Order: sequence, then C-alpha cells, then structure tokens
Amino acid sequence: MSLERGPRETGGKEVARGLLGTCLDMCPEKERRDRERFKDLAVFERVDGSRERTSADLAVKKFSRNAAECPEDIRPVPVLLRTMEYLLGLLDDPRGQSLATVHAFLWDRFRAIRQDLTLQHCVSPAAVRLHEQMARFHILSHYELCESSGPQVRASPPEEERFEPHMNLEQLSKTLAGLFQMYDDLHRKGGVEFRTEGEFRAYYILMQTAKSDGRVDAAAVTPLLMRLRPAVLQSCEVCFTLRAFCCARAGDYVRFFRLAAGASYLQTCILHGAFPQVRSRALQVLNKASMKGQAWPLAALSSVLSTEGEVAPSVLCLDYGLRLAEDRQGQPAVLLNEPGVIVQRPVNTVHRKARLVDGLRRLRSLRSEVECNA
Amino acid sequence: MSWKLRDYLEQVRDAIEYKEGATLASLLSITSADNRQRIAQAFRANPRLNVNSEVSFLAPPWNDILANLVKAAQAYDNNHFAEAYGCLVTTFLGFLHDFRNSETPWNMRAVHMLSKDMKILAEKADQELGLEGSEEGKQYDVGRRLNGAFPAFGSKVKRPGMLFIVNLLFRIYFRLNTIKLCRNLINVIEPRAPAVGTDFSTFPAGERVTYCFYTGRLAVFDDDFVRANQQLSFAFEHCHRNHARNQRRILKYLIPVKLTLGSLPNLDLVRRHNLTEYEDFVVAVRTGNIQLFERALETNEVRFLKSGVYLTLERLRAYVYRTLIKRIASIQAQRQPDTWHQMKLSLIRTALKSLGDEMDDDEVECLLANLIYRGAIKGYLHHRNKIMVLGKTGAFPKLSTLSPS
Repeated sequence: MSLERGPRETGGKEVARGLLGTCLDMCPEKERRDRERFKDLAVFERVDGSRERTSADLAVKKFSRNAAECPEDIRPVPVLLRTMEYLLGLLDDPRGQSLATVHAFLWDRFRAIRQDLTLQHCVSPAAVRLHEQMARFHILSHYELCESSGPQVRASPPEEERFEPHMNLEQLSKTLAGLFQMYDDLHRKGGVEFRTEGEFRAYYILMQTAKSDGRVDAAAVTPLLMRLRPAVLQSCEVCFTLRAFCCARAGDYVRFFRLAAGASYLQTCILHGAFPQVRSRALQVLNKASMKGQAWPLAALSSVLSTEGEVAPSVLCLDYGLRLAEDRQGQPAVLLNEPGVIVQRPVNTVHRKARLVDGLRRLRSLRSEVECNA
Repeated sequence: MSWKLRDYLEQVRDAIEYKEGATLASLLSITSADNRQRIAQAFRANPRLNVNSEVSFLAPPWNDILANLVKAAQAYDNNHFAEAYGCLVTTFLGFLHDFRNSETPWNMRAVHMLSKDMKILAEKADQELGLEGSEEGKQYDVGRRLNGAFPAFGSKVKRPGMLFIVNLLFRIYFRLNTIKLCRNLINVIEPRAPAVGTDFSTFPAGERVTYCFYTGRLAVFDDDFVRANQQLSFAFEHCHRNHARNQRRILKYLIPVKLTLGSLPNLDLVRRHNLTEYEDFVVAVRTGNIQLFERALETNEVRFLKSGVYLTLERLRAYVYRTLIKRIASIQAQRQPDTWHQMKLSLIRTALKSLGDEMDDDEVECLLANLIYRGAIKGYLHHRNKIMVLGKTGAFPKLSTLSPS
C-alpha cells in the first residue's frame, strides 16, 4: 500500500483534518489475514463457505475498539461509499441468510464505517449521506425484526442471528447524534443545508414518543425544537411527527392511529414501538370513563386502536387483564369499568408486525427504503 | 500621561496584600474597557515591554498569575480571543487556589469576576474558532472549569458564593443547549440531605431570582408544572421592581405554566408586560373558544417552539374543550332542564361543527373519555346509546383542581 495521500473530497465544504486513510479495499489486508488465521469470518465473508478463507471482494472491515490506527488500515471516503453500496446489496440478496443475520453483520460493519469517518474527521455531504442510510437501516430493521425478540421467541437462536432491540436502538441513537452534529457543523461553517434534515430530526422526535419505559419524553423533545432552524421546524416531517408526539402525550388514541396510517413506512417503523403504550392508555381511559360493566364491541375497539392485521382484539384485551363477553346484539365485546378490574400493562410487551406498517412499504425492496431520496 | 504597567501591577499587589476584595475585583476585570485600555496603552508607549520582567518583582505564584492576566488583556485587545481565554484560565485557577486556601472569603468577588470574564471570553473564542473552521470547545471548557470550582466554596462562610457560579453555568448550558448537564447543578444547590444552615435563604437575593428562573424553565421541560410554578413564581415575586425586562422574561414562562394549572392570569398583567402572544390563550381557555386557541397556537408556532413553551401551551387544548362542553351543557340545561345531563354525542358533534371543528363519533368519544379520565368532567359514557351522562352537580370541576398530567 503506497503512502500517497488518498483522493480528497471535492466541494471544499468539508472539515477534513486528522488521518487520511489509504486502504483501498473494504477490509485492510492485514485484518483479512488475521481473521483468516483466527477463523473469525462472518458467513458473508467466506469463500465457498470456508471459515478460513476470504477475499478482498467479500471481507468487510470489522468494528474494533482499538482506535489507534495507521492510514493503511483506514478506508478513505470513496472506499467507504463503495463498501456501503456492497453492504446494502446484501439487503437485496442475503445469499440465503435471514434478515437477522444480515442485520447482525451490517450492525457491526456500519459501526466500523462510522469509526473510519470519525478517525478521518470527515464532516461532509458524503458522510452525511452514509449516516442517513445507516439510520434508515436501523429504523426499518427495528420493525422488521420485532418478532425475533421478546417472549414469543422460545428457542434461543444461534449467536449470529439474535436480534437485540436495545442494541439496535443504541446504534440508531449514536448514528443520529453524529448526523445531527454534522448538520449543525456544515450549516454553521458553510451554510450547507440538507433537504433530508427534516426527515431525520423527525425520526428523533418519534423515538421520544416510543420510549422503552412507555413514557413520552417531552424533556428530550423541547431542547431539540429550540435549536432547529425555521426551515427544518416547518418541514412537513417535523410538523407531522410533532403532532403524533402530542397525540400520544395527550392520550388522543384516535388521532394517533390515524396519523400513523398516513405516515411514511419508516416513520411507522418507529411509531409501531409506541402502539402498546397508546393502546394501554386508551384502555385505561375507556375503562374508567365508561358506564359500569359496559360491554364495548370488539369491532369498535379494533377500529379505534387499529388492531386489524396485527392482533385479534380479544387477545389484546386479555393481554391487558380485561374480560370478554357478548353485548346485547350477541357481538363479541370487552367488559369495561368492572369493579376491581384494572388495566394492566403486560409484563413482557409482545411485539407483532402490523399490516398497517407493512402496507406502507411502497417500494418493495428494503434496500430502496434505505437509499430512498424523498 | 504615560500609564505604567508597573503601577497597575502594584495596585493589584496592594489590593491582595490588604485584602481589599472589591478593589481587586474591579482591577482584575479585563472585559471592562478601562483596565484593558490601560494595559494596551502601556504596551503602545513602550513596545519592548517584557511582561515577564515587569512581574518579576512579585512573589510567586503571583508573578505568573498576573503575567497571564496581562497577556489575556493584550490578546483580547488584539481580538485574539482564543489566546486570551487560555491565559485567563490560568489566572482564574491561580486566584481560585488562593481563595480555596484563605480562611475568609475576602477574594470571592475577584473569583466571581474572573469566572464571568472567562465565560464572556469563551463565547467570543468559540465564535472566532468557528469562523476559522476549527473545533469550538471553549464554552464546554469553561463549563468544566467552573464545575471544578465548587470544592473551593465548600465551607459554610463561602457557600453563598456558589450560586453565582451555578447561575453562570446555567447560562452557558442553556446557550449550548446541553440541558442534561443542568440537572447536576440543582443537586449542588438543593441537596437531598441538606446540612444545617445551608438553606436557600443564605444565598444572595439577586442570585436566587436567577436560579429560580432557570430551574423553573427546567421544570417546564420536564412537564413538572407544580415545581415550575413554585420556582418561577418565586423569581417573579422577588424580582426587583425596576427590572422590567427580567420580569417579562420570567412571565414568558410563568404564564403558560399558570394556565396549565388552571390559574388564569389577569389580562392587564399580560398586556402591561407586552406578552400579547398569550392574550388569546387566556381568552380561549376562559371562554372555551377552540378556534381562537388553534389560531393562537398556529400563528406563533415557531416563536413558541424556539422559546420552549410550545408543548406546554399545546396541553391547554383539553381545558379549552372542557370549557366549551360546559357551555354546551349549560345551554342544554336551559332548553331541557330535566334531561340536560344526558348529553347525546351527536349534540356535541353538531355544536362543534357549528364552531368550525369537525369531528366524527370516534373522535368525540375519545375526547370525552380523556376529559372524564382526567377528572375534568364528572360523568360516564354509554357507548351503545352514544351519550355522556353527567353528574347532576359539579360535573365540571374547577380547572385549578385538576392535576396537569
């Protein structure tokens, strides 16, 4: 590997200081040899399935905590772009592997890409685009793999295929944090504005709607809103997600699910995480506000809580500790405001995929969703 | 008259020796034009002036500390803010160390003055660095330095001076929008297990107002309206009568909080302080005018988002609807004195529609259910008959009795 400086980015809008990588492969040669020796090759990196052989075309640099690296181990931006292309190709063609396996691989290799960008102090439109694609990937895989975790998964899958939602969210948060830093830096120093900024600031707002402890986190949203520039504040994505956030906070379940039905696929991938708490609150509200012992038809419940194509309303009610009966017309119903019955949040929230979300996937391939330019 | 650097240094030395805190503080301020100009003049009169030899008559560590002060002033005067900041930090640390070791807090004002100047310089330095395309970190740095100063204020006689530092940090963190870092500051001033004689009243009055202003705003972010009301009310009541601008700043946050607690402020108060953007909200909540509310929210949306009160005001929608439904109910009570308390959802729907607010059955039901759940309406829903049955008396408890969540 020559010690010549790698090709610099054009545009003059970047702040590229620090090391300049010179590795022209997706994975540095030294690392390839080391991992061959230690048989540490992911399934996608194996030549003819061999755990001991890889190639420059298949191996992708792994994330490592050891940040003290030399230029020949770091990939310059054009190589990172090429690496990203290659990795996203696995979404289209997973070579017979499950999405969970693809996710585990990409989850790690994306971290390595971000690390190479950080080491090269790379703040540029290309770096922004890479972060955006990575964020979209984490968002959609959070939904697409939601059934791979949680209490319904009985058998413990082999190491490679286990999907850890909280770790996925962690990487999503880190990616968004890095992305937002870049939006701010590039705007402040070069006046650069990204058409996509609204989309991603909105994802952050949605994430505060669907916190793991079931709370809606206003304290995290307000400071963000205070620092956005007007064009982004008034973008349709931010406006929309702010409304969804306020609906969730106010307990307005009807409007919340209607908004969800009108959201984009990626937005609902995140909103889906808030469904349990919105439904939980809705049931609490209806349970208290109804006439004692009122039998509420499941058809009505299904409609306002948007359960169709996701979960049977009867199952939902039982999950929350409510009893079922038949109403005067002989229709299946749930009994509300019964003495001594309180709505209980299920101990382990069971996530099921929803037709509401699946139906929003306009473009069939996952890769297109990641790369899409609105 | 040529002003000699030596004279200045001797004045500083005398102030230190005779423990004249106020004099020292005013001498040390380099953001004050006087001191800075004098130092600059001395260098202009004698370009070969060597700072290190000028300070050599002072005993260590003062020679080094004051050398840095002079360098900071010079750099500032030449608009080299990052450099000035670095020198001033060294000066600050030197005086802080001395303050920590002295038994009495005689030099506290000097430490405060230097802290304030450091913050100002850090802001200018970051601006300068930003334009150069370098990493801006001076404001973060000054935050760390000031946090590191707390141990020096540990003793009972020095503790009152801590609030000044805390308030500086609030200003820095709010400016940087690093709100999370503010939480630790509250623990410093309001410890969970307070020692005897360290209650809030021991702090200087002006600083208490500032502190309550910032902690009130933080409570607003957390949706903790009871505390926000406590803190902001304290700030408002104790704010100096003549400080109109500060009063307005406090009210900007206090009014939305009061509204959320169901306590409607006097319109006179709102107008007197030129906070006209809140007038419509007060009227809307009082009269149940949903159109006015939505318009008020939309017109000033960006402004409210920027100041951080949008999410607070947004909550008032429920109260506006509650009052509106109360009005509908009272009209109904006149028309049908025997059955008014059994309100058809369709009636409410029609009334809303006539006011320009179109909702379907599900939305109306959701709205009413939430109001009942929160205790804003006493009654229950009969889903099948699509009616809401109100309690015959006290169906609409006063807003101020409701808990904001």
